[in-house]
Amino acid sequence: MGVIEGLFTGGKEFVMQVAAAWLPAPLLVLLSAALSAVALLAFAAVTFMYLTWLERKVAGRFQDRYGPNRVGPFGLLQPIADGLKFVMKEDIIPVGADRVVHELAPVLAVTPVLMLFLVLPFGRGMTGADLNVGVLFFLGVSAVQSPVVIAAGMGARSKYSVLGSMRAAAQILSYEIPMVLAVLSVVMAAGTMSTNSIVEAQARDGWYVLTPWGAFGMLVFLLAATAESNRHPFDMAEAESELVAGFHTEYSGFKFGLFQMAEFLGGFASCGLAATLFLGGWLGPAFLPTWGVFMIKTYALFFVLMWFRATLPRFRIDQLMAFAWLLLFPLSLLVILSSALWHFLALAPALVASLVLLGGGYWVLSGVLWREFERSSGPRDVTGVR
Amino acid sequence: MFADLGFVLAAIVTLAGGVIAVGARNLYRSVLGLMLSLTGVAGLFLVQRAEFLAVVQVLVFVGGVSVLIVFALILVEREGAAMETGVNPGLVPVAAIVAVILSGSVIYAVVRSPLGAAPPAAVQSRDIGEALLNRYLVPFEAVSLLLLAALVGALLIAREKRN
Amino acid sequence: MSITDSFVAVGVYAVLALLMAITPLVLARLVAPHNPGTEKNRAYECGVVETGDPWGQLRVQFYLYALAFLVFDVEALFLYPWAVVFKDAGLAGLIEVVVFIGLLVLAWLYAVRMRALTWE
Repeated sequence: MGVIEGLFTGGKEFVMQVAAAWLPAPLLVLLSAALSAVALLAFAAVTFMYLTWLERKVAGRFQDRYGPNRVGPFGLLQPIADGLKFVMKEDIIPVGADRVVHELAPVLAVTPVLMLFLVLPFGRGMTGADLNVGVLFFLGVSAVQSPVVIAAGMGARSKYSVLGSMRAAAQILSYEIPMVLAVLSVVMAAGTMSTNSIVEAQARDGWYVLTPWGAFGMLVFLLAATAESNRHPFDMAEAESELVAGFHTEYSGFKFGLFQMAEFLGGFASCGLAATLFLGGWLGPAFLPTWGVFMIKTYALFFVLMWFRATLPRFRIDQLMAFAWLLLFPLSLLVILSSALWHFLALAPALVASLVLLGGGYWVLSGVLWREFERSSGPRDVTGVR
Repeated sequence: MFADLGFVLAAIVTLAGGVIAVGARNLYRSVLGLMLSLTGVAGLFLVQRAEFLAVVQVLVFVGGVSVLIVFALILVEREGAAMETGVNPGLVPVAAIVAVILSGSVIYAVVRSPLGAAPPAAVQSRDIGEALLNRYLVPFEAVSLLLLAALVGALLIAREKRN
Repeated sequence: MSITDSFVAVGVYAVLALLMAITPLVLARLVAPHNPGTEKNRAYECGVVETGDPWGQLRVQFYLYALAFLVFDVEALFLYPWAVVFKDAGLAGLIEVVVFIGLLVLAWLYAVRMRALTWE
């Protein structure tokens, strides 16, 4: 198993040793960075392709039908066909749209999401760049999607695009805060912001999801991350029945493909971070390679996201916002408090206090949320335009 | 060597962003230029090995302030006209003089300052944390009060617009 | 890896990621057909000729969300350095931070009472 475990790190070591013989030191640093980058980007590209396949298959099975199964065995060549189709579609830029912005927006949307993969600890010693502020880097790069989404909508000069992009941006911002706070609770317990170190801390303390604050924290994080990637059931901003396709209505061909890539990879990277922060990352039984363990956990979480998509109805825009500000945000503050109590009190009182705090808090907040929805039921302007 | 290269790159990005922000005709492109410039500043923080600040810069400024500015622009706009901007040719000589004076003063101050040329030691988040809780406790709590005041004030103003 | 190495990795990765995003677009520009037409180039509004100004007048609500985000985001980021030294700071540190968060809970309560965070 040592060979499989060290497959990637060993391969890179080998190349670096060969290169060390005839490259000067600074270029070696560049080479090391470039090797990791190429590996991660290739992984991201292939993952995106097969995530779309997986999503369609799983959605199909949930709906009691086969997913794509014509193109290649089990439809495995479907993503390749889709990719070719995207490249060959005509690129239509609506009249009056800002040309530069229209070209730039998809690129700006996808690049930050690709950057997310840099700080995920795929295995022991397999983090692209183990920054001291790893998790904050992840969160910061996610937040960059907000203005980019507005740029995308603006680049199209269409009422639906602009409206959809405003809503999507507001949604990203609203769900960013609970995400930041939920991650904070983990940083408190681990004492570090580096993703790899958080995994190692869980080797000492046990998986964080097994604590009350960890369980609630993971729930908050996962819901907030789903909303950040505009995934169902939080995909109001791009729902077909509502706004055609929201901010990416006017983008055809590969530009649309890039937006899809940003959405899928964003969801996947968030699942990866959730696995890192709460499920112990690459920690697992000795007979599996560490990167295999990480993949299994991440895909398991992504399966949960696909399950959401197949099962739940969509949130309305006002419900979306209320959910973030009236429930997730205060709940994440309670998670932080609980994480603090967990450290200061002994096990039994901490357990009781946490469960009271979190369970009670959830009960009170959902009551408030429910009353709020009751109060605002009835004819109301939901389009966002006066 | 990398520090110098990084500094040059970050400086170019910051300046390019600034030029776009000031020179673009379309206000929305100006905001994009501003975002580029802010990212360049984050790069400058990285060169100084202040990782925490660099990431906070991206999160707060590029993620938050840029969006705030865009929303404000759109709210204020009338019939698409406000999105176009231009340069008043009569003011160019005055602007040039002011620019020379300002940049001259800044360059003079920087060159004559006792700041060293080498990047400082990396600032760890732990150090920031300890400083906030011990030496800078009062400013830390004051920040919270300030944020409360800012939110209340802004909401009061915005509430009138809504009603 | 040393700090500088990890920053270099970030830079190199950013450049390569940008290239990866741009390349298929360039490829598509070469390969895809290009036949502009009036109907095709119009903005899409379910087949109807588009009316009204595409910008429209948007609600103050969006601005309020961005504002609330900024305030609470800065608060959350101030908490991060504390979180890293949380265990060493002990009970005293916890109380200091509870005061900090408490003031911001007040801010949140005010926003909720003003109905600033709910979409009317």
